[in-house]
Amino acid sequence: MSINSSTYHFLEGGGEMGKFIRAKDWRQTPLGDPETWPESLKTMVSVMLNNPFGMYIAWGKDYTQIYNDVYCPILGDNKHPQALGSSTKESFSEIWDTVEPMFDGVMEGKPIGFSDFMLPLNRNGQIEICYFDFAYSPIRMSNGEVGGILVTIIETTKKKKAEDALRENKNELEFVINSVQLGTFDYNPATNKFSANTRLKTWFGLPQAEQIQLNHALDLIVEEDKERVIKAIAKVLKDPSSDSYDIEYGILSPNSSKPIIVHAKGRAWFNEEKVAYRLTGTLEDITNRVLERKKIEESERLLRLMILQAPVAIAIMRGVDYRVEIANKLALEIWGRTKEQILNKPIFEAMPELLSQGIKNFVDDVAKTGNRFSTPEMPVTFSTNGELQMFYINFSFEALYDSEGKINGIMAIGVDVTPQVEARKKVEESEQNMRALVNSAPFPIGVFAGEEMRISLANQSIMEAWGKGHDVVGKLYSDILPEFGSQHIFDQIRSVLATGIPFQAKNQRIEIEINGELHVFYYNYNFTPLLDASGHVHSVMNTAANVTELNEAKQKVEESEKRFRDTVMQAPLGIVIFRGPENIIEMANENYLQLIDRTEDQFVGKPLFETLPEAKETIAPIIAEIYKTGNPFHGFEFPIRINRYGMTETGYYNFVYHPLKENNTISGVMVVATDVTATVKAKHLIEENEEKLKLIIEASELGVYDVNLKSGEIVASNRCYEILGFPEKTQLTHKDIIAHLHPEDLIIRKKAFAKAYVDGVLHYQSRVVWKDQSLHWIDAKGKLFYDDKKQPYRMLGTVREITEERTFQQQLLEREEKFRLLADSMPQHVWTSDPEGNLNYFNQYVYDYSGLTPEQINTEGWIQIVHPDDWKKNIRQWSKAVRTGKDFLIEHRFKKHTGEFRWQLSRAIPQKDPDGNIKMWVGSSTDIQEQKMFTTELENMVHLRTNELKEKNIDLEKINKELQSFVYISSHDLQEPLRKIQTFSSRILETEYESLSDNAKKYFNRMQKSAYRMQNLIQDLIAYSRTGVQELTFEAVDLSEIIEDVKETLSEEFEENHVTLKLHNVCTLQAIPVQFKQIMHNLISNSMKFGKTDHPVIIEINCEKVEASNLAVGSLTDYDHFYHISYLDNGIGFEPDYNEKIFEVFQRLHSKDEYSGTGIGLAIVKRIIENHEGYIFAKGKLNEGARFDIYLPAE
Amino acid sequence: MENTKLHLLLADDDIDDCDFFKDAIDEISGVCELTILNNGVELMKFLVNDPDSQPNVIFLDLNMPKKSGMECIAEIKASNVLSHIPIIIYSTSLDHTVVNDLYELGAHHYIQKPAEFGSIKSVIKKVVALFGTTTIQPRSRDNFIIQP
Repeated sequence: MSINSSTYHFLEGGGEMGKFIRAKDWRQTPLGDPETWPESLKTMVSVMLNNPFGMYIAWGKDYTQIYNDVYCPILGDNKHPQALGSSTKESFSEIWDTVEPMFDGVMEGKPIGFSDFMLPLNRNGQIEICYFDFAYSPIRMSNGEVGGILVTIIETTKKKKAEDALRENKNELEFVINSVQLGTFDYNPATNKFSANTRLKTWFGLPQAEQIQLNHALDLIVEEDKERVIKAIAKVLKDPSSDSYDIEYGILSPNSSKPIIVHAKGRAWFNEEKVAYRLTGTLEDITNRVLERKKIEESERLLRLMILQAPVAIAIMRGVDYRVEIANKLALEIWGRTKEQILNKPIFEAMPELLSQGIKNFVDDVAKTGNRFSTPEMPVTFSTNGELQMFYINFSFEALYDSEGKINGIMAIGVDVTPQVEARKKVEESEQNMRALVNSAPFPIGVFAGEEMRISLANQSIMEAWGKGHDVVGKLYSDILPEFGSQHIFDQIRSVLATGIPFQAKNQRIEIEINGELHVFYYNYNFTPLLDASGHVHSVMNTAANVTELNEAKQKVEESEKRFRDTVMQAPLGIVIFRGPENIIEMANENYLQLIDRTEDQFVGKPLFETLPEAKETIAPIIAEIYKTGNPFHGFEFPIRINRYGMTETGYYNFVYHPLKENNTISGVMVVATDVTATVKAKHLIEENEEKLKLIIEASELGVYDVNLKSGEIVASNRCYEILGFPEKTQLTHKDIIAHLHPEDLIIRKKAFAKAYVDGVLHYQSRVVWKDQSLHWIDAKGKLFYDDKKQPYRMLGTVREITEERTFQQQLLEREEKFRLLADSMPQHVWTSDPEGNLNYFNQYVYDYSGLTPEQINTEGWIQIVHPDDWKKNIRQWSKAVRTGKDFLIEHRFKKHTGEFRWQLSRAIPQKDPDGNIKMWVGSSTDIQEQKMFTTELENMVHLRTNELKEKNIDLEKINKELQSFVYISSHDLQEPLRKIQTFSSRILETEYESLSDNAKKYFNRMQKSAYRMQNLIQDLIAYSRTGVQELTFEAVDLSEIIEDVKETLSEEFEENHVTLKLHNVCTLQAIPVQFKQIMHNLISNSMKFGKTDHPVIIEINCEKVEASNLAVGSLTDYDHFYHISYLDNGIGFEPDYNEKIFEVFQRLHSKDEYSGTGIGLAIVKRIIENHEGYIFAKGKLNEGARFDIYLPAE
Repeated sequence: MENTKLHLLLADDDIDDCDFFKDAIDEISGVCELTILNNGVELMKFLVNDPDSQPNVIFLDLNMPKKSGMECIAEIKASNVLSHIPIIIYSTSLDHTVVNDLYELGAHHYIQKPAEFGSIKSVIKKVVALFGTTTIQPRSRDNFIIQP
């Protein structure tokens, strides 16, 4: 019976620490009796004890600590439980330097907190790195001063680790975004604000603020793109089924003079109501790419223009089926087709009439070999408007090469020479006509006759080309164009003259001097031998086509195409282009090659799936689909198995497969890809961890729930549904739950929720009724989470089924009721208490005896019944019983209603459940007044006597001390004058000996002897007085060693007396070495002093361990075992009458002259042995030697 | 110590004892030089003021007025310039606890003043033999007490 429940209400509950705190004797701490604690401390302790978070209070100047269960693991085994009630300064001495200034600050009213504070804790036998959120808050007392500190602590290790993992993932994603140089944005349509990464903000020249109004960004888009972007955003946010946001536009940042062109991509996120709540995506700076593209387009446009306006028919065909990419007007005229009929179509499909004319063979040959095919005046039949019409055409097919020297098309150049041919045919008879014809030819023609190359014919075109006027015919070619000499043109003509083999030059650079300046031209020209009738070459005809412009255009195209390819090659993304049905790799940049771990040699120029067969299964259908639909394919975190780095592994890629069109036909695919394997794997890992956590919760008996307080949405574990009686449901509403709640308990739940909204913690127990009408008890706990505006938005918690517990409690209550009925009818005090020691029941007899009402006992406590003098003892004993769980037994006085105090014997026994936990205490008090009165009287008498004895003892000790110091001082000071006497007498004997009479000499000798004996006497007295004073330090002592020591000290006397020492059995004893040596010294000295004259001295010593019960010595009962040392000599012995007496001080049995000796030696021996709690007995027989039996305790 | 005499210093307030000691030295004759001082204060003054005539060995009585032998030995052993001088305790009594304390304090030897004059001589001879050589034996508890 110790702690009054009403006074110490604040110490209730609190689990283990609650018990510790209640059991603690706080009077031994600076806090003092809990009764005297300040109100605020009491309140805080109560709050702390029942708090599910780690908390501790450091109170007062000493920072005396009180803490709760949850805090214990943070302290660890080496600090808990001694930290309770001691100072923080001691408990955390290792970090006190850090903590002290913070504590001092809190004591001045300044709270302080840390999040994710790292502490290496020894838990489960190993050092763990743990993280905690700490808060130190001041606890104010009623006068406003800070009385102490409340430390709240939440372990955040798991959260921190999860955050770290998340941050790592985020970092990886950012890294990817960084490495591909993307800007990212995240737009919230609800707020019309978006967040973006630094790069994006830099492009726009936006401030680095977290949230940016969308309008601010839109204002920075170049005027012509703005409307388009706004529309695109509106579209993607409006319709969940619409395509993703994918747009290119320009930005004119205020920080930059040049507009940046970006490619934005994103997608909108829709909630269940199909309302967009987010638009996220990326921006890529494609300024350079667009500019390049524009340049290429420009150069291509120029080329087309040139071709279209060329004076000859020109057409370019590409691809395996010779699709017409371009055809100029002349070509169309010849073909008799319109643009629409022919462009971007395979030429032999558009003009099937050509197939039968062998043209395809020529083209195939050129496409295959690259050799130019050229033929003059080829008769070709074209179908024009359904009518076949024949043309004579001078035409050539030229292979077109890409920058890598590969044939990528065919250029057909044709000149419709039908009229000429027809005309020539007419003019064949007439050279004149021919010349006219030649002359009017739209391309340069000249004829040079003979070795001297006299110009015999030159048409208008060639003269224009030469630019040397019209007066050239009949002149020497070398005179007109001397600049050709160094260009080997004359050599070419001469060679034709000599060999008769025509000479052709293609794209030949020719320099012609016009108006005194050298101009560069490119010509395709032929030197054709003209034969006379005898087959002799008499002249050379020169035909030429100026391809200067064409050539320049082609160079430009090649250049720009090369530039484009370089850009691609250097792009930070993996880019590959492949074409044709075999997917031949046309190019792949370094990044792409790294992505698939292949070298350029292995990959480029080969069919895609020859190099990457492992990807065929996944990728081939995608490519097929692109060729089918022409739509690009976007892969996001797309798993592909690729053999790389020596193994087959699944990598994850973000990529786009984009069709490449030529003449509106898909000729190839461009792939842009990035490797996001690391990101995806990290993501998978987190998902896996979450899955694991879920499994753990599922496996536990706890039901877990998570309520979104704003939407009312409940997410709960299966176990939770099970407990609540919805085994089949997976989605619950509040209504469902309330429907299952026992109607009587609705109010409990309501109250618990009301409380939870106040203090953030939910806890209640209630009944639920399942569908089968079975009743179940649940224990629901929860914690509220608050948003930035301190509004609760979420509740996390657990549900536990406690039906069994509750049923047990119910039964207990019933049993208790029975017990009470019984107890009330007993003529004895009967009472019970809860496991914490709070008395909660008194039987009727208690009220009858004390005359108190239940209300009085309730409010003022039961202790008022007990005699005030017994309170202290009573409370102490009761606390001890409650703490240890051992029976409570006490004699104390109870106040009767008459005012009389009567002695009671009170006894309480703990009642335990099957697990051994104390459930309650049942106590009774029996009147023992009569018995007690008798014993009290007896005790009083004993007490009186004891006091008298004590006083006498003190007096005795005082006298003893005085005596001791007297003996010591006197003997010490006596020594000095005595020594002087000896020294002076020795001087006289030495120096004056001769002058002394014989008598004087004799007196001198006797004087010296007296002085010597006095010296011995004093020394022995000192030794005797000291035996009681010296400190008693027992050591293991080897008997033989001690005797050896003594032998050495007495070696001279040993020799003198012819001593034989026989040591039979030796023991190791527990003794004080110096004193024990003294014993042996004195005994052996005695044996020599009292030896028989003319007999050698024989001493026998034996030692053995004996059992006390086997000894015939009555007094040896203090110990079970003794060492028995027997000591025998063959000296003069003594009469048995003196067996006891010889141990007395100054007891001498012989005269000084007969035998030397002070009479103190054996007294010292006896005293030392008594010091050792041993015994010594002497047995003597005159003339038959002495025997000493020494018994020393063996324990 | 071949050419110089062994310099002994006795600090003792007892005039008789000082005389005995001096007589004994005289009779041993020739090997030692002796300085006698009559209390601890004088001893410390002598040692500090006259560093050139530091003795080879100090014989120190324990019971002295003004400054006891205990105090002297503590001071000497704490001094950088004096601690090397061997100290022999020369006392009337022989109490084991006191003996142990002095050994701990750094005394080299302990001699109980002999009663016989002949023993005084023999004990001094032993000291001269111990300290008259160039190598001084290190202290040891076993040989701490010199018997006459």
